[in-house]
Amino acid sequence: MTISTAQQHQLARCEQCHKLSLLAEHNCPRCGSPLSFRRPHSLQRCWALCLAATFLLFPANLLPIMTVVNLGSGDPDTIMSGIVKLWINDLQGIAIIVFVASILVPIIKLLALLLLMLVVQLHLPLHKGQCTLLYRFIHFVGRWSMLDLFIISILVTVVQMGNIARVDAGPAATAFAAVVILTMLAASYFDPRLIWDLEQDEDVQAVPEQPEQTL
Amino acid sequence: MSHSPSDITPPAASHWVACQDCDQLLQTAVLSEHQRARCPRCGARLEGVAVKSLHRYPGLAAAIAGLILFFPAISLPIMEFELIGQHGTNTLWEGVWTLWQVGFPLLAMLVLLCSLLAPLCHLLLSIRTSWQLGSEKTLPPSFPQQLKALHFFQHWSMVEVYAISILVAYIKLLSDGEVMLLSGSYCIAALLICLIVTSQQSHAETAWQAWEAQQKRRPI
Ligand SMILES: [Zn+2]
Ligand SMILES: [Zn+2]
Repeated sequence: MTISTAQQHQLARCEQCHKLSLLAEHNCPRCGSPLSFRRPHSLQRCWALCLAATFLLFPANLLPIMTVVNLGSGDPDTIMSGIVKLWINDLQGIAIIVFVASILVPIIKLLALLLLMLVVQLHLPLHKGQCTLLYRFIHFVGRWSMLDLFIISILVTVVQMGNIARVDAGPAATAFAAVVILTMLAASYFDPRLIWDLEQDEDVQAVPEQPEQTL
Repeated sequence: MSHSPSDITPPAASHWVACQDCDQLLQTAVLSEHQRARCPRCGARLEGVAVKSLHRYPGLAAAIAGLILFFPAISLPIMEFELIGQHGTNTLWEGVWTLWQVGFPLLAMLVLLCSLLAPLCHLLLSIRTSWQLGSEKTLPPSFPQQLKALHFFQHWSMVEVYAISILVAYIKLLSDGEVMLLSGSYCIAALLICLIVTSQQSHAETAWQAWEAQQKRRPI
């Protein structure tokens, strides 16, 4: 298979409508969106969003996310202590689902984005197909972090019986919501084509006797 | 379905697509329904490939059914929890409103967007788009914005996550007291099916090509 990218032909793919047009046109002739070969400032934006999300992971995990008041008394629960309580109460299945959605997914997402950005910036020789698979995975899985927030919204409404039983949301919920938004945005700013662009750089380096083109 | 370019002459852009994940330039044929085009370089399912859709109506019907189901889905009680004679219920809309009232505006707005606003706008815009493509009238100048908005709301609509959240909350409450799933949860499940069918039947590239064809006929 010959590798021939759109960029080599001066063609830019519209981010909105996917049409290919010459970059010289500046705006997509079909939908009017600005054209560029790769998502603009992809790495800078992704770094900034990932850093912000990483900082917010601390309040999201250390502050209480939910307080279950039962007969007048209740301890605030962090995400992790809530999961431990579910496990102790013989709800292991639910504990695993909440653990995956609230702890594993955000951390794996951030680590994966970090790895992908390092691959691009440091030209790490990882398998490009697998990096792309990783990117598709984090793109797909990001929305499932909303699970815990929806559960809070359900419990806070359904368990409202004054001092007998009540569920209160905690400040970690807002921090966690911000983590979900920031990581979803970070995944959409990262441009997986940057990974494959490394391959061309390697090809160029591998064939040094290629005649230089002068304009 | 895809061929690599055989020569290096710049191809006419209209018959070519670039892979969204690796930028490989590929020539594609118009696909029939249930066909998929994959990138030979990275394996991505190609976006922006035209699909010859034979039936406009399943998608439109699913979107209209979804819209009809939407209002019971947000206003009927989802579950009932009972403890020592006291009981409480919830609806999708109350979930947003309670969060707002107890001082979590950011969280309330995020839940509002993902569980209510995005699915509603997705359905409305899908119906409008199908309708406009089906009728003989010219497409309005706002058509590109409409398709972009449709894509945005489709991305942020998370009814499938909400449906699983209902199940998790239900199982969680089972150990604390009496809990019952009510009509609202069935409406949400049916709404979810309608949203999935609507998404599967909508072909963005077909809509974009209709817009492009009209622009070529009457240049603005
Ligand atoms: Zn465009
Ligand atoms: Zn590809």
